[in-house]
Amino acid sequence: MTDTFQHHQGAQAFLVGETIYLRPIEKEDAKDSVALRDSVYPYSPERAEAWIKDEIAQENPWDGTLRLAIRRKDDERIVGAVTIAQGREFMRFEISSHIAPGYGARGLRWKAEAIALAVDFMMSERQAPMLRVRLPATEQVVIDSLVQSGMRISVRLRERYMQSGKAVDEVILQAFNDAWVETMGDPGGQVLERTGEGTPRPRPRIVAPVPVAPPNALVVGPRVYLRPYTEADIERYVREDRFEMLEPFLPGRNLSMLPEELHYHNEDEKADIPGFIPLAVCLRETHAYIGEVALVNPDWINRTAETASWMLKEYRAQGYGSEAKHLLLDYAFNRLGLRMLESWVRYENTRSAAALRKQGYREAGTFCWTSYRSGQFTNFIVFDLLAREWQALARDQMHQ
Amino acid sequence: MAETIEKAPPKTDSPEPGTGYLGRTLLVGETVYLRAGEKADAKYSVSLRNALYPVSPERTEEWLKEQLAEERPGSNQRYVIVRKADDVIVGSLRTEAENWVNFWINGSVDPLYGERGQQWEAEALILLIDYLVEERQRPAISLELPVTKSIVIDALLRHGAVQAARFRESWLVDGVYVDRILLQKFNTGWVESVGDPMTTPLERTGTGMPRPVPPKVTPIPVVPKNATMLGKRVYLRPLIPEQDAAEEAKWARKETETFFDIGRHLPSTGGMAHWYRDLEKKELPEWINLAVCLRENDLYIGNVMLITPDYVNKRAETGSWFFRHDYRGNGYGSEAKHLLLEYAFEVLGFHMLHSWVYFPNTRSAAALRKQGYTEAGRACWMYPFEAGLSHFAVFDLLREEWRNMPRKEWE
Repeated sequence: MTDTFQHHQGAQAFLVGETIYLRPIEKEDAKDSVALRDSVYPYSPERAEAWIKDEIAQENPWDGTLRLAIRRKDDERIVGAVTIAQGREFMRFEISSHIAPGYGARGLRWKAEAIALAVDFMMSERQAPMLRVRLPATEQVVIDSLVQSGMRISVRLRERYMQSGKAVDEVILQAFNDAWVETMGDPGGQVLERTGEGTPRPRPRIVAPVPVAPPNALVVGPRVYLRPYTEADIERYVREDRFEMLEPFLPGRNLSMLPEELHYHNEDEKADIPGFIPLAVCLRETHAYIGEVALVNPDWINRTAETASWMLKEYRAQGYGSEAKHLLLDYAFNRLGLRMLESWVRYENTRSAAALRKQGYREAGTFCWTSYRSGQFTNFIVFDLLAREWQALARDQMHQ
Repeated sequence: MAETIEKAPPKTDSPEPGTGYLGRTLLVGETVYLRAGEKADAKYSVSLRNALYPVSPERTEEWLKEQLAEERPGSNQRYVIVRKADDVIVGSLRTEAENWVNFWINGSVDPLYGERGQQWEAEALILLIDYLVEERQRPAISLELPVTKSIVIDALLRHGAVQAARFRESWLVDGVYVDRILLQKFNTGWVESVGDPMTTPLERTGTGMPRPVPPKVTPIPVVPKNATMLGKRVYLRPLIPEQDAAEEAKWARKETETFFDIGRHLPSTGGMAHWYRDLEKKELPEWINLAVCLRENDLYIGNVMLITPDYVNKRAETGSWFFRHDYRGNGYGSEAKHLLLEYAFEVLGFHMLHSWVYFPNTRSAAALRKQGYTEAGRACWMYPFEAGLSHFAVFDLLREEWRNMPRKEWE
């Protein structure tokens, strides 16, 4: 079918900038597969066409991820893509962008223009209170341009990317809807309460070689060990939810559903490149399951991940959690070769933040307005930890 | 909310009858408690799930294991209502996130329990609403109930919920159409931050008076190709997925008005075509979308639609969208809408229709009043808007009302 409105002139009333404009991705765009999609296995036009027809087309056209091609105004060439992801339940609005390789500084200027168009559209029309953009620090042109247009740098995660053999920081920028700032106050105005000393403690000894290895153990500490998660562990985890007294990651306790948890466990376990790696924490003395530590969304190219942990309530505040966490860090850094780990904690959860500081994590910034409580938007504090920093921490000589 | 622990909590998923709630720290009431669904619940398949084809325990087990487990975690969750005295499952509730502002609750107690069941349902709903509003900090919780569930409605109103809307004759109970009540509960912190949603004034434009319905035009010598409903200037036909989606996508990019929805949309041809193909495959689709075309030249100018038709209670939501902005404001929309109303009431036999309009969209609200719709109330805090949480004005229209509206004469 002939598209009589191929060109932007008169054909598009919004999301049009000075040098580029944004348009939904269509089947005929597949020939520019490298510009459209940044993937480990670069897409051929055939694969891109299947992706557009079978996967993008199945996304809800009204309420979901918005995928737009970046088209150069002067010749209609597709030079990149913008993705606007919106979470249904919480205020997760994220803009990411990719420019085809080879355009150098020009490409970065198009990227800045494309992101700014998308931010403005989401703020002024779609009423997003907050948006975030994650960029490598090497894209300073884009960062400067977005800061000039009013975005703020909220978080700087150290050494998040590997580029040309060098570790590069990630900058997380946020845009805040002016009208919402007027109603809610400045997002940076919330006070972060701190508990604990804030200094790292020695990390526990790793027990290796082990005289008698606990069954199926991956890493062994003085009192606990980590082993693969089993269906019985999931049943215990789900059952424990009913007796929980504390809030987990987001506001309010959760009531997990066993079939759902088993389904996702099986999916991750089967995957060669899993998106979530939970490990069971067990007591050496009795082999009892007492909690979980996990690597979330591991990035196997840049060798980073997010960490998480959860303990049965009767085993909290006795040092088991920290010992298990250090075993996870050992597994992540020394076994999987990850270079950097990050962790996100609600402002109100001062206990977990204090634990992270004790474990050697450093504050990387505040990510604002990611949730809400009592009619106010609330913040997260973000931490990072580099492998070499953790490896340089002193070992605890007390527990032998 | 914490329950006194009377005995050690049971260590298995098959507790002794009457002990299943012990030790639970959330969602435990006086006579019922709520918990997540488990495979063993399948034996209560009728209480667990209201389905047109009543499902067997075998099918329910499969549903719990395979379908329910794949539902998006977090946003939507199903809770089983269990009687404390004997651990019998008496019903279920399900939450569904509309967006980050509003959360819906659906579900009920098995109707066979009668008034006792209503008391359990009220208790279960209060537990869940409090949990969602106070603990999960959701800004707004919404649910709809037939007016005959007066025990549940009264209990929720006493507990601080408000009646935001009343849709007339939209629930079939014992052979009689009864009203449907929209109840809402708001987080007090959000009320303090952005104001009481029930007091926001609704701006009105137009006279608010119904206009006569355009006359019927059958029979005619040459019927437009594939026409489903025929008017004087426009007709309705089925959508042609690829062709119509391409036209809509092209015009969406040229849109200049932002007030119809929360901002403009940029659908892709592929996405729209896929959705249209998917809808027309179904015998009883969840959305019936018809193309509006000009009789004069068959030009495709917009859509009218029945959204989430309820084929049991014979009700549906109506909607319309004229992507060709050069044809707006000439009466084509109202003519097409009356063709849709005729299709819904006279062809499909629906008893009532309702419509939801964004508060700032005074133009569409005025059009509904002209078409004979009556205001049913408001649905509060359904979306963020201008640093606040905004509402829908809601309308309803009964078949008999529409039939009794004056008809225009041929000019």
